[in-house]
Amino acid sequence: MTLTLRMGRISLPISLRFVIAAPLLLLALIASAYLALGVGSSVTAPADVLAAILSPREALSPGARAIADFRLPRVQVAIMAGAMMAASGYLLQVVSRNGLADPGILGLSDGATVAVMLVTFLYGPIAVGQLGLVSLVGAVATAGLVLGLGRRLLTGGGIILVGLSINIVLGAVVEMILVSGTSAQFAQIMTWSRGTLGTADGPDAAMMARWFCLLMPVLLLGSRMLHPLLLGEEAAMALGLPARAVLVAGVLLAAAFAAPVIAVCGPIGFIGLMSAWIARGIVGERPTEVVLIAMPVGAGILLWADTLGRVLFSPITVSAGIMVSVVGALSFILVARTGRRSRASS
Amino acid sequence: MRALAAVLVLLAACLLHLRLGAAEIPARAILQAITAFDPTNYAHVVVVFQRITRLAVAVFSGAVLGVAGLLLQKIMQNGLVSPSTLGINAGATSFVVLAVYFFGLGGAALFLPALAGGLGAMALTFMTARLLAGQGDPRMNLVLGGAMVGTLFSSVTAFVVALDPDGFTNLLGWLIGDIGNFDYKSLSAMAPFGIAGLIGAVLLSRMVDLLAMGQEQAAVLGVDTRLVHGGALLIAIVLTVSAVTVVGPIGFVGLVMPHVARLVAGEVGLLPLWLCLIGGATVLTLADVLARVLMAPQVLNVGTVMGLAGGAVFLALVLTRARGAQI
Repeated sequence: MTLTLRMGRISLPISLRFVIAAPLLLLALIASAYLALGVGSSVTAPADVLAAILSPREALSPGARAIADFRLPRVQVAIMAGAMMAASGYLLQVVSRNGLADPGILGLSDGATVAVMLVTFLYGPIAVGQLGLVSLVGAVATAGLVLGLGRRLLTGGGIILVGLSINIVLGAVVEMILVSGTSAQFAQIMTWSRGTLGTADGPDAAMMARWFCLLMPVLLLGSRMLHPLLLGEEAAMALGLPARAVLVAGVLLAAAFAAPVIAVCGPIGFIGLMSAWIARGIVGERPTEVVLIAMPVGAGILLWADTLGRVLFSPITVSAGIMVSVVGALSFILVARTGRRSRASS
Repeated sequence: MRALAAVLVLLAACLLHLRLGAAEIPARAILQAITAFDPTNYAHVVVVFQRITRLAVAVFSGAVLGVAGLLLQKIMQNGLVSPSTLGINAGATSFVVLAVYFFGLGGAALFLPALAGGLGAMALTFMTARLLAGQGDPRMNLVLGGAMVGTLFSSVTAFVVALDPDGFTNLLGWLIGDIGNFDYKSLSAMAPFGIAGLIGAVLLSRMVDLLAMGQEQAAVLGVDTRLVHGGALLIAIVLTVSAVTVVGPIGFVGLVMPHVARLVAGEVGLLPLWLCLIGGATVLTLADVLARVLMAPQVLNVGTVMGLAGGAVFLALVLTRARGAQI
């Protein structure tokens, strides 16, 4: 069922499912964030959580200050990172016309990882703001390489295999960089290269928020152009869409969404894959709606993965990247399966 | 003639392996170390206790993985499959890690969990490939299924390692695929399995050739296709697992060697099998040389070198396959 929103000359079709699902998801996300702020290795009072969010830092009790300093930025980063990976994954799925695409699987994450590691290794630690740009360069370069090599293999698994083989090569490069560093660097980079939120702090959250605010308007304005692309490049061109330009812009935007996440948390795989799949299950195919549903879903997945990783095996902290990838790999198989079903039924 | 040439190449690679490293040792000293060992001579000690042991591990693992790859590619008639691309390596690795974590197993006892992991991963890959059936190229589906299963198992491995990072410090190199100085100990335990597998592969070779002509053709010629298919698969997995238990998940020897053998010796007969055996050993020996020389004095993991080279080869194969060429 579709509602139509009219504002002067602009009319936006919105599905009823979206109208119901979006606020529910946002509420669930807020509730999860509140829960995540309250749990951890040190016990805190529920009142502290509210105080940490609402009051200025100077007026806080020690418990609330710990929440504001450590858990709050971590939760903020988890939410933004999950949402941005989801957006990136969905964009890649549209561009590559393959439901299995994801920044991790197509190699963007590893490209960004290699770029960040190389720069850190050669020039020492650099500011987190610049790290985002470095990782963007790596992601865009890899995306160009994979989609360029695999453009004839878009349907079926071809492009995924191209991405995986680039992944293998880049993974070997990562190992080479790891081996050539000192052992202290090794330990630090090792955790980061698996995807972790353990190092997320205030400046990281601020950096991601800047990218988020910059990219969201572009995504919202551009997402309508993605719809014709779902029909295929030629059909989109027949509808008057400059398909090539939109494809390139889509890849760039996907890389830009993934880049700051990788700079802060390292490559966190499968979120794009899972959340886009869930979102399509909820609202169907209209790109603007799918991406707006996929983002809170992705945020929720990463937030829960990180929180569970912190709490479940306490005092050991299992990093969010690992938590996500165990579930993610399973859903990879599920997604492939439903891909077959929908094709069989259509 | 071609087999002889291959053996010569392998011998040259072995010599190179013994010579090069953090310190270069002249050929004369190597010969002396073997014929007249002098425990007070540092070069002799390095040759015998560090390089020959590594060499033995590299030759064994390479040979075994090469033959495993050939068997898999022949019975599936698919140039993209190999122990690593079907997820067998990853499955064996993650079961070994689980066995270490939960039961504290070590040494030769790890063969059984590794075998279970290899078999499980293989079965899962077939199931996944069946789920994928109906979209795109069926041969790609098998590899895609393998890639998914591989990812699944390596996430499980990473997860278990993350539960007890300190306990796995010694295994970190093995997890990437590495030849360590003490691997010869587990080699002596695994070698019987490997050699039994190789003998099985030689015995089965004619049957597998017939099977490669097609199920029906082979059945008409009196081959029990099911038995041969299953037997070859089992041998390939045993071979793979015997190598993985020693050196960890080293990929792509099994992917690359059958292609080389096919170029040199064609499809049928025992020659491709011998070439895969000798060639696999050569490739892994050279990779180990590169691992020690490339960034000396730091020693890379052999798995890293093979990943670098093998990933590129895999990419090339996928792209050729996509162009529609037979591989």
